[in-house]
Amino acid sequence: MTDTQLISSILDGDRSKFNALVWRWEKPLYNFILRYLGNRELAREVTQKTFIRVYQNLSKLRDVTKFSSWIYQIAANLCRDEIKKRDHRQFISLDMIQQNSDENGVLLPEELQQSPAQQPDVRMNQKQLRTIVQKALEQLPEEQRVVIIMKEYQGLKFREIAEALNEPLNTIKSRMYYGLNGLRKIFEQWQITEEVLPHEL
Amino acid sequence: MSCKDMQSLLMDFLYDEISDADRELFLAHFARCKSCQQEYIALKRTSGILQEWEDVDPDFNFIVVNEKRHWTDYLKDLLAKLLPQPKIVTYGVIGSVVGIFLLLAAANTEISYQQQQFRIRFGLFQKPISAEQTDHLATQRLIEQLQQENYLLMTSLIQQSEARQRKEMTSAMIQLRQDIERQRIEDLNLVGFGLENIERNTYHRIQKTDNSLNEFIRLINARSK
Repeated sequence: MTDTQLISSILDGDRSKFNALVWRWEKPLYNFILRYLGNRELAREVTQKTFIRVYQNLSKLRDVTKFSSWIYQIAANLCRDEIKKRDHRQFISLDMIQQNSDENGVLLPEELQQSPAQQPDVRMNQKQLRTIVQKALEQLPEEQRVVIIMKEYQGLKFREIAEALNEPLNTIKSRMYYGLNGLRKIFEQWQITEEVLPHEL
Repeated sequence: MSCKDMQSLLMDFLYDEISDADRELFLAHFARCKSCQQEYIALKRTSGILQEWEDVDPDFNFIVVNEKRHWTDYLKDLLAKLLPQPKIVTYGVIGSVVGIFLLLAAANTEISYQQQQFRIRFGLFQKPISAEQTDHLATQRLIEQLQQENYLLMTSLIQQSEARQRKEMTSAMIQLRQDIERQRIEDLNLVGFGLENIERNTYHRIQKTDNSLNEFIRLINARSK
């Protein structure tokens, strides 16, 4: 059954079909939220909230074919709310920034406190690289980060991202462009070259 | 066109979302622009590095909807599917069915008034009556008829008895009244007779007294002369 058929069944009263929708979407949605927030516990909580909100508001979905954009829109809004809450709760000390930043003020992850340039022969393992990618994404402005996550990991079309974020198509492409270039610069600064990758690109 | 104008098309090209018309336009620029070629390679590599962050499986169970539905909900759904749309037609069909039901029920309704009680019996689809049931029903009807006649007879007797009693009472009262009247007249006659006797006696006594007084007066006058 497609998403559209599942949603039609749910709206016709067969609420148990929502399970199928959850099983289909739990992994992509959880990974999207995890990349957005960078915290497993929080990602779990927000994923639950997203499904609850989807369940409560499914009848308000006007165009069932746009379910994919709609569910990411809900998830992105909830992530933004969480980030706002977190910003109120947490702060980073200036000392830490000064100690762990490079000359451009970009925060260095622990994995790079000893620069790979100092250990040129060591290839990074998957876990280290994953952490570096996560840290690099965290350096980007949130509006660019969410576009990159939606495009690179969720495989959404630019049009779908524009719908999910309620922004013009060209704005989305522009954020993608600047976001990718931002990451490129960060990787260059951290000397993440093909040599340190565990396998060839 | 400048490289800056190509940014949007570069994104479309990088993620294979470019239209055929734009592809021609982009490739025309791309073929002769070293800067764009280098940028494309660099961004492709960046995109490749990003893919090193692989998906993970959620390590917990998400909410599962296990809604207990009442059988009436299923019935409603079934009706909603079966019944024609729009609603006015649905109501029309339901109204017609109910109307036919009521007509059939009215045609088979029996209303009776027996022994100061109303009895209503109605049924839609009565079973064919067997011979035994017919005998039983006939007996029952006969009993009911006899009961009815008996009741009427008793009622008539009671009414007649009451009427006779009322008549006797009326005549007795009239007789009593006549007797009292007669007795009263006799009493009045006796009183009248008594009074006449008294009057007569009194008159005689006065007459005597008068005569005596006249005689006395004459004697006195004679003596005085």
